[in-house]
Amino acid sequence: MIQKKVCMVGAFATGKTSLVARFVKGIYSDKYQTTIGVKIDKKVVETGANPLTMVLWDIYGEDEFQNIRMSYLRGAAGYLLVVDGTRRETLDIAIQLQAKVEDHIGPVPFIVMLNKCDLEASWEITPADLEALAQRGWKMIKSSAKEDQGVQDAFAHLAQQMTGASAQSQEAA
Amino acid sequence: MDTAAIPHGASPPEAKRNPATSNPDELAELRRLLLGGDLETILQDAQPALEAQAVSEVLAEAIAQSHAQSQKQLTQAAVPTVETAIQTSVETNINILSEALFPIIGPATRKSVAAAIRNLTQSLNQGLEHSLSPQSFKWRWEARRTGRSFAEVVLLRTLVYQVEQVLLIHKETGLLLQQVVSEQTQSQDPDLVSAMLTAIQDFVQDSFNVQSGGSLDTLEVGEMNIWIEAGPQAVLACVIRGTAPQELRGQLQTTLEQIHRAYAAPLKGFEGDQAPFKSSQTYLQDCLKAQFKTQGNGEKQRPTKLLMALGCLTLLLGAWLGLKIQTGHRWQNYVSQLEQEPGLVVIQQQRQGGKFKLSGLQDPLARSPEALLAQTKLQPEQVTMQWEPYLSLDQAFTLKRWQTRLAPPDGVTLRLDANQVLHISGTAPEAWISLSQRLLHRGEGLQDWNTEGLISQDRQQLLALKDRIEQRSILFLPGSSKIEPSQQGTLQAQQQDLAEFLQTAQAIDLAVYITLAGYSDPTGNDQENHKLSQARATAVEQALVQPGIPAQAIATQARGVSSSPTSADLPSAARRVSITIEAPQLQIVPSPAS
Ligand SMILES: Nc1nc2c(ncn2[C@@H]2O[C@H](COP(=O)(O)OP(=O)(O)OP(=O)(O)O)[C@@H](O)[C@H]2O)c(=O)[nH]1
Ligand SMILES: [Mg+2]
Repeated sequence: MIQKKVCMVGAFATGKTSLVARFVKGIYSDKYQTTIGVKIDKKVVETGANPLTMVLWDIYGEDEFQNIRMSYLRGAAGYLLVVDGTRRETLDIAIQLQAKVEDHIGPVPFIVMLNKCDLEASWEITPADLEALAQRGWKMIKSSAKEDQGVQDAFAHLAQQMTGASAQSQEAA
Repeated sequence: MDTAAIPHGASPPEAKRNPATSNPDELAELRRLLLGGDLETILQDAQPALEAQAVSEVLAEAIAQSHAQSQKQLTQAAVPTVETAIQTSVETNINILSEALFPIIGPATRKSVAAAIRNLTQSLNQGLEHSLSPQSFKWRWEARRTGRSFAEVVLLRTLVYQVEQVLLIHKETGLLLQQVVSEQTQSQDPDLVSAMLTAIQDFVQDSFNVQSGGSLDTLEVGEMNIWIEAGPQAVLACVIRGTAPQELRGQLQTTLEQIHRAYAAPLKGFEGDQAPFKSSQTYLQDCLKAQFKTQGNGEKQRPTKLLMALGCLTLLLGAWLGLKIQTGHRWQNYVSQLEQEPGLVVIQQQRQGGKFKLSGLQDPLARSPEALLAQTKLQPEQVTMQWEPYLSLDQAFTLKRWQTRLAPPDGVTLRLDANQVLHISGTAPEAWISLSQRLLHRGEGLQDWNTEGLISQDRQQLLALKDRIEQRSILFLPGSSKIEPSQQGTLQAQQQDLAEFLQTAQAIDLAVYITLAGYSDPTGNDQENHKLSQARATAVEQALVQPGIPAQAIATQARGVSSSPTSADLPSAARRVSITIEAPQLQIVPSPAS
């Protein structure tokens, strides 16, 4: 069995915990309970021939009081950079965080999740912003933990990038 | 032998080996004679590369020989170079050296720590020497029996634990490499546990600014302990129930060192594949086993002496307990006796150590609790009592209280019925009756009283006197109003009774009317007879009056011819004076004063 450490990184309340809950347990709640420290979960996905265990480190979101502890990212094989489409500043934070993470653990695969796409009508992030990200060569996936859009996709893509194989998510029984 | 190790064509060392037989000068001379100057030139012109090769071929042997002959020069010459090399290595990448040293440092440290612990055990021993408890008695005995130190026995007996789960964790990623679980334990998902433990380690290290190398090594959750032993590449975590002995820590260190040695390459190149670590299970199993050793040692022999000693102790304890129970029993008996005693109310009682305390209410008429205590086998100095006065409404008590208050004379009985009505019956002096009527009142357990059965002694006596006086007559001769000597006895009796009657009546404030009625027989005319009857009544009146019988208390009446003689058979009975007493309020039972 191959295992990989995967981190959820982003500003606070962007939906990191919700995305993990959706991905691992298939559930969603509108209630916001901020994460304190780290929450660990895991999920087995099929990548080509071998199953892969993703050990998910759901790290508390960065806010004005607390920077993310970089030591939590040590040894991560990949990470998801979560942005809340309805809050422009979460994108700026994501860009800063990406630089910091890369500085700390080197260039490992990551995917930007543009979350809360069910609210796309009221997004503050513009197509121009997305264009700028694409220019950097960043892989982006629009997602909604609420309506289960792009979630499986994003994790599967990351799994694939981490193992170099074509990945497909294994649904929970 | 040595020659077998000599590389081919190495003649110069050969020469050096036997300095006794070959002199360097002689050898050069011989060579020049045999080969001439040409070869010498060739040798001098030989390429440096060739020399390096030649030297490398003999270098190892040269060093070995230098060492064998314990020549210090080479070592001394090498010191600066080696020192620089180490310094450079540390500057370039400290990990290489620290990883190389890890398997060495562990055992070395343990040795010195073991010595330190031995000292600690000794001082602990002294400290425990002074402690005393039933358990320590048992342990002390065991220590003497087995020849162990007391502290050792205490540690052994107090340590009961089980290693439930052992996790081998990759240090950098926090991913699980391998785990073992003891039988009959339900373990958490080890993948999550190992990641979480790593996160906690990171958190602690960051938050408390621990110097590198220092790390969290124990987590306590209720009775679960997690022991963490960190190496350079991998971390060993043990989930332990109970208190594990320090030897387990040593076991963890040894196991971790072994794993670092055996899996150096897979650890370094770890990419998330657990497969190469499958076989590390056998190492981890060692940590699970550690518990059985400690637990297996217990209770092998049951020492009869210890049992006897414990038996004695139990006996003493039993006797002491028995005494305590008996005293407690007596106390309970006493308290329940007090509770049943009319006029005593126990409000609070408690037992403090060997002392008893009691407080309550006491009717002044109740039996004394101290007297009751004296009847028990309790020691009076063991008991402190505090009583407040109160009036009991208990029936027996109300009766008793009225009995005391009224102090009835002999012949009077008091009875309290269920409706709290006091029945007073019997014969009593009028004075007591009127006093008691003033004393009686409702309340304090009394609803009403009934004196229907109570007879006044004085009135009873008055009625008897009245009867006696009215029965008697003083008789006269025909036509005479002179009191005959034969009538003197009757007259005196009347006088006496009448005096007594008046005195008693006066004492109880009774109005009395005394009438002396004179009669005559039918012979003669009515006028004469009427006169005669008046003369007779007057004669008796004059004879009766004396101190104690005042004249104004007496009225006379001439009745003339007696119509109804008291004794019709005797004609003399018609010629008489009789006394009638009227006392309208003379009843036996005085009406209740209410
Ligand atoms: N509409 C909508 N709301 C979402 C979505 N995902 C998350 N939320 C809501 O956003 C809030 C924050 O979600 P969390 O998952 O707790 O956010 P987080 O990033 O884990 O927050 P921190 O742990 O504080 O950093 C919650 O109220 C969620 O219900 C989404 O896809 N759509
Ligand atoms: Mg969260």
